[in-house]
Amino acid sequence: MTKNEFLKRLEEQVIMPDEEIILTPDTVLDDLEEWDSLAAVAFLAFSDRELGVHVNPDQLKNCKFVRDIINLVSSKLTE
Amino acid sequence: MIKSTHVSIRGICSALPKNKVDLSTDIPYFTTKEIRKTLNVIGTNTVFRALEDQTTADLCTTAAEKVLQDLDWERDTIDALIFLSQTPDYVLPATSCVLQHKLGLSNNCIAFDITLGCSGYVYGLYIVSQLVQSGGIKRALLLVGDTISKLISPQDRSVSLLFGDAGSATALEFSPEVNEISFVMGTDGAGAKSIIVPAGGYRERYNANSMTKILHQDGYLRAHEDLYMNGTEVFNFTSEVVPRLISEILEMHQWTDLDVDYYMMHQANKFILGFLANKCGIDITKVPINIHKFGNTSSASIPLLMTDSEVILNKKDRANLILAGFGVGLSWGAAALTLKNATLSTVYV
Repeated sequence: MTKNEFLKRLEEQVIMPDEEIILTPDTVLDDLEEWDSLAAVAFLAFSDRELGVHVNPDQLKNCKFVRDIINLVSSKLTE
Repeated sequence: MIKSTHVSIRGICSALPKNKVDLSTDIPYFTTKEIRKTLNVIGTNTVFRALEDQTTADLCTTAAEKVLQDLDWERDTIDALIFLSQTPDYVLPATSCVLQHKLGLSNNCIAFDITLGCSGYVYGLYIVSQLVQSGGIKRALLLVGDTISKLISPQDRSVSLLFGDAGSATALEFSPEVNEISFVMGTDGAGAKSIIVPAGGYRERYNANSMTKILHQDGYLRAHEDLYMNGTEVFNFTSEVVPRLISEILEMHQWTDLDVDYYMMHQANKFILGFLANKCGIDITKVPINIHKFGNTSSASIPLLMTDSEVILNKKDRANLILAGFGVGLSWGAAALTLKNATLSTVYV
């Protein structure tokens, strides 16, 4: 999976923001109403199932931008 | 290796409060979008919630009366009554003592309470089957249930759209023939604060501030007297522990997935059940789900699933089942057993 594909999947399956919002690596998570505990769990499941990465919830809590989330799984992503 | 060898489950009854709540229309605190998204992920739709004057003990009493009637068991033949719940009638005395009297059981009946949640039914089966199998206790009633709706903050979306209430009664009897039940259980208290009601015990006594709703960092409004659940920590724990638990119980009972008819899993939420079925490599058609009807009913979730699955279970003479409960504590347990000739019923009170 490339970083762009990952971003797309994050948008479609995990965060599902309103149509007007497109996720970019610079998007601030706090600005996203949809980035709640359900989305966080969906992300943990997604990274476990699709990328085989077991993300620690504490690391997720420290993410401020979408790019921080990408960095958590970047070892399994291609450019 | 934990096994019981001479115990039969003779009957199970689940009792639900009649008060039905439609989560998509009856909860006023959230937007339509928030509700739709939450219900879609966790899989709930309706729940049954106890009224103010209905307790877990009341639900379990109704279930016990029904099971005694179904089996035509005389009350004075019950040697043990165990009440397993996190929502007892009193701090003291033990609710099981109150129920011994309410159910008209003999004074020779032993009675005690156990405090566990999601893993509770498996632990309860383990403890009661160990009491029965030595032959000293011939017949026992295991009453398991919770009214978690009384512990949740209605404005906390992470829990108020998830939980329902239920009680159950399971009748166990000594079996002269060998009838094996295998158990695997475990504990990790490091996760104690992942699912917790902070106030009301003796670590933080109930005080004037216990009811004050605070807006927490997670964005949810709740007081110290309310249930707190850390979704990501619980998911993390579940995804690590449960796949291992399932493979251990299968190995212990010398079964493969092909031998299993159904996996009766604690109905934590629809999302996690799908994730676990996939990760454990088990056929999702063998994982009954009823969270859309009843919500997450904590300790009652597994017996409720069994009685609610009465149609599929009674299609066969015998059903090979894996039961798995996991959650608050953190605590987990799985059992492997063959259910045959058990009466199964669900009642509303």
